[in-house]
Amino acid sequence: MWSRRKFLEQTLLGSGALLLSGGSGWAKAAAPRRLLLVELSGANDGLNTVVPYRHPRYRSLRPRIALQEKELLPLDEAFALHSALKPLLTSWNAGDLAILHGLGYPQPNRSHFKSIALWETGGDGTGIGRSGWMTEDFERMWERSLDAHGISLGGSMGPFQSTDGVWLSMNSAAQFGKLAGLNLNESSPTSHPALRLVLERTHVLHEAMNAITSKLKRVRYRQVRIHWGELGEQLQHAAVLMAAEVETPVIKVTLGGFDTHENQPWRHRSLLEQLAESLAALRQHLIRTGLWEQTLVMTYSEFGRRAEDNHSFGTDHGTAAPHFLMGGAVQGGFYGEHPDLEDLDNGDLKFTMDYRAVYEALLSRWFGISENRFVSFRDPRLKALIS
Amino acid sequence: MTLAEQRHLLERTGLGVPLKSLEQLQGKTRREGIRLVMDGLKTAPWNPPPPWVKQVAPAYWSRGDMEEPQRQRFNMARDREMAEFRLWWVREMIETPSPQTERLVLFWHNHFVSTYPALNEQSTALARQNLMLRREGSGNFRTLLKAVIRDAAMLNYLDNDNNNREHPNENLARELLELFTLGEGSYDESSVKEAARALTGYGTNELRDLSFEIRPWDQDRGVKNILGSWGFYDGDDLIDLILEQPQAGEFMARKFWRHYVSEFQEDQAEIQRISHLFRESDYDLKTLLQATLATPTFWSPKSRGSIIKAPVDLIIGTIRTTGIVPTSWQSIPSQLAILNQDLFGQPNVAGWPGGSAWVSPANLLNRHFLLTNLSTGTSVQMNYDTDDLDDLDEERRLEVRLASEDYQGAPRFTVKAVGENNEVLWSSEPRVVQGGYDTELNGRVSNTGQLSWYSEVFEFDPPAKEVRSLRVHFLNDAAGPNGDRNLFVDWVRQGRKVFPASEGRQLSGCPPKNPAEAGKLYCSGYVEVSEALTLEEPAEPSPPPPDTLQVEAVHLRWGNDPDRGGGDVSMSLGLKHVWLNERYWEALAPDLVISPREGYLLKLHSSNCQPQCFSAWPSSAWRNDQDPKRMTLAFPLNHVPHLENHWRQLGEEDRLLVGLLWRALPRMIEQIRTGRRFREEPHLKNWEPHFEQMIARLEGSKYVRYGSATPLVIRPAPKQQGMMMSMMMGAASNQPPLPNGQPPLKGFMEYEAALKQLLPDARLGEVMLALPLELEPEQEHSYLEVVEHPIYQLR
Repeated sequence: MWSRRKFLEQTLLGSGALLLSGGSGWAKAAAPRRLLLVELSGANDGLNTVVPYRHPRYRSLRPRIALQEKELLPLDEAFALHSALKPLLTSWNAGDLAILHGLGYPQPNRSHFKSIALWETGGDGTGIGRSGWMTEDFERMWERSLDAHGISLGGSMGPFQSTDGVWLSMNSAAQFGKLAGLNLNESSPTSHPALRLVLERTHVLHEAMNAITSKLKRVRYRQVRIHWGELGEQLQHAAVLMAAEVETPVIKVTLGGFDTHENQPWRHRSLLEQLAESLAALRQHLIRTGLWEQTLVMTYSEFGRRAEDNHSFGTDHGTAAPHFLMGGAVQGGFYGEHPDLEDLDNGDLKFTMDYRAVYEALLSRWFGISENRFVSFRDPRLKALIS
Repeated sequence: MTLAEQRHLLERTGLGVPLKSLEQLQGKTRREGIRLVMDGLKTAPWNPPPPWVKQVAPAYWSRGDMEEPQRQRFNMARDREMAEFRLWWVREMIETPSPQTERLVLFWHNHFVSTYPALNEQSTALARQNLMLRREGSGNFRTLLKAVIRDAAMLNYLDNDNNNREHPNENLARELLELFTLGEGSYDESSVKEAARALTGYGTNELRDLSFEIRPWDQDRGVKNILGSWGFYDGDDLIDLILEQPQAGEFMARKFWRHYVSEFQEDQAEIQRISHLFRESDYDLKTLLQATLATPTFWSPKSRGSIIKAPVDLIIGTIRTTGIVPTSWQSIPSQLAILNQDLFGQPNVAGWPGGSAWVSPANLLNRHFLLTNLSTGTSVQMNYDTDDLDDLDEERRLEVRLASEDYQGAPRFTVKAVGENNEVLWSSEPRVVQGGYDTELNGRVSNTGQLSWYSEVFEFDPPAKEVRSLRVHFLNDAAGPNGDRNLFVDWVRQGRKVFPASEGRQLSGCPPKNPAEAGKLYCSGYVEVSEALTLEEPAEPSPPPPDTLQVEAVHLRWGNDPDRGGGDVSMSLGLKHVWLNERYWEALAPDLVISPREGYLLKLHSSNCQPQCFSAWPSSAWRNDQDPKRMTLAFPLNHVPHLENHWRQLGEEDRLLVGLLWRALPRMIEQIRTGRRFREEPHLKNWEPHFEQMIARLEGSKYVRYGSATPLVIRPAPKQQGMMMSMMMGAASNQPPLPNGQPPLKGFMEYEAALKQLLPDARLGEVMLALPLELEPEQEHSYLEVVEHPIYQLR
């Protein structure tokens, strides 16, 4: 039989030593910063999320599904939130909720699959990226000093596509416990390149799982209560990972169902309710546990929906949309300009800010990776976004 | 060849190491081995593909005008087709006596990537692409490339349907150069732009069975400068120009090397030599493959185990090697997807990156888990129960199609036949659903198409009393923070009656919000079905009344705004499944035109009818300047002298068609007015006054003389029919696959015995592992130890 201890000893002496060195320490930072990505899968209708409620065109474009006064929470003279987002008002008033107007990219693609792949890999209508948008920079920055480079708690591994790094997917903290008991075979070091790769990966996985599992054991799950529902459950797992101090700079969660071609009014309302309630609960929890200052939450979605409603009380695939950024270090307020409702492109909103400008801000200002993939998209309008 | 060499050849050119194939290689030299591989390449699959693949494609063109529920049903039927085709391919890979063909098809599938999620449900296109890759994949690379730029799935996937003179779309052109032929750095940006121009207008015609067509009005026929040459190039010229580049041969030789020889080391000189042979043979793919297999590096012991197994190798390879088929074989497509090799679902156009990406930490976990499951789970038994049940008298056979999400175990269920006053007349034994989706491990499925559907067959004892309904009970609901156990019922079949669950009634702890969701049991309870469709041989559709158009539906495809001003304004109607006396059209799409000069016209374009619009096209038909095979005839309501010939030269039965189309106008307008598109596009209302005038003028026209009193009858397809077809799909796939064409072995003991018989001295590791076990080589290793060994991740 292959002895696990022998294996560990040997890998530590041999090839394994490589694994444990290199990179700067993310966890060594006083307050390691995290990004929580919230995918709104199916394409969220931006115009009924952050509503230009006083704009005369808003109502004429959407005779069937325009929100009425009682369904609106005005934030200023021009914009109101959908009333289902009421739980986010606390965050807005506290100044840690930013709304980024009109995010999109050139030559928009209206296929769910193709467009989300662009957002995930930092591409646009002229071409898709070959790996997740933060993977290269993260792997370069923190070679192997983390428990994991990123953990997906729901939906695809899309933004974490990479041929390298430790990008994990788990459906629950308990799943890890279950899998950690799995007998992953280990063998002696070897000069065979393929076998060596498999052994290295097995070793890395072992390390990650052991570290994560033992950290998770220290946390009492019940202490964390977000909200039930698809998103709430994932956010709860995320909160557990954070409470356990699992070293991972990015966590991804997904809320599906935004493809509201029909019966949008009630479907969209219940989705936004779920989004707002569980994000507000997460925020409260992280403030209480002192982690809010080092957490940044960002929503994203494949595209927005068309400016005009359709006759099934819904909206079809569109282009630009606003997104939220929340966190203790976020400078709240509006950023960028809302797309002009008088100047539509074939019935679609024209994007006013390239979404990759936000990625650039996250990488450089939040993670301190100033030389990143998206430097050319740096946008002065986001200068104050993260303090 | 030594045993190690035999297994190497099999594992590299095929899938797994079946004992029967080892036997065939005994006593053979390397040369003979390669010869066997080459001679066994096939251009057609071993199992016939599902019949819909070769039938005329469903009416995608009508989808834009469908109401939402109808559209969803249409799309769901396509999802089912795709799921069926995936499982068909999995079966093909398990059963085929020509795994070398599958290895090659897998190569092309990941070279010319086109994925289902990005194709708007074009299942037909993708299935046909798979057949095309078989047909052309071992022939000539030039021919293959020319087929690829005509392939419906590819043209859709890389957006060439939107590539036109005014707004060129570079997607296909770029990938053609970068990923399909030359590789990055072997061309300049301007060649991409110019190549895109050469591909303008290349698209597919949804009205005509998704067939390839070049749209002359979209085509850029100007001079282009591609890869340093000037000319009036089109797509075929582009391929020829690309293949003049020496890099083309080298790029492909390198990719074959990585696919067949090693992912970890390249011999540049050898690759050069092979690429030279490939080019010398004018891009003969057999030459390329043969040369790749004959290279000394291929046979070097160093190359063994130098390729990381793809999930297909791991799962299907294991099944072929051992001959043991897991009971959950129907969920292999979703198992592959969990391991990130979703067939027809690569993450992007670059395909599965393969190599080290297969063993990313996230994948590695699941690979181990699934392998352990594969080795410790139950396997199908050849004399399994349903075998006898197949011989059952039809009335005594009760079949349930179902799927599950598992959580700490699979759902248990029973079926009951219920009579009057809820009296239970018959009840099945409880059974456990097989091959479910483990939600604790993999999370919830995002759509029910991801589930692995299959049927359970019961012996039914028809009770004396009348059966009013059938119920499927979900007995053991369970859920926790980390998973959920759910039962999904698709339909129940008894005798010739099929009861769709979606037509049933669900009584459970959580009744469905939408009644059509009946059958999705998320809580304990049952779904009760009483509405049956009867399986009949598709009845000859009753012949239409003489001289009358009979159609299944009239749709509005698109219409311009008549108030916009300018020249001709058109509206395109679409008639689905048209009968007229002995004639039949799959689709017939006439245009209504408002012409400032010629008044109201009915136009028929040759490209808008499937099959041909007319028995004979008159010589006076307008022909497209650039493509004379494209013809148009126009039939005005007014007297328009220069159009007289169109009518005059028309045969009598074609005149009947035109006359009827005009006369059917009021009825067709009535139809499209209630349709989705007319409601949703406000500018179409501007046609109303024109409709009125057309109808008024129709009276005095020559067309009124044609046809019977009722020019058009609409016979919607029996709702049942489509539903039945898509429901019964997959019923054929119930028989477990035969690994390498052999009956499945019952379990590992049988495999070991068979191995001992064939190779008395061989140890398990020597057959199953690509590398020798250096530690304790003398020791016998158990099957599980071998499969869980890191070396088993390699081939």
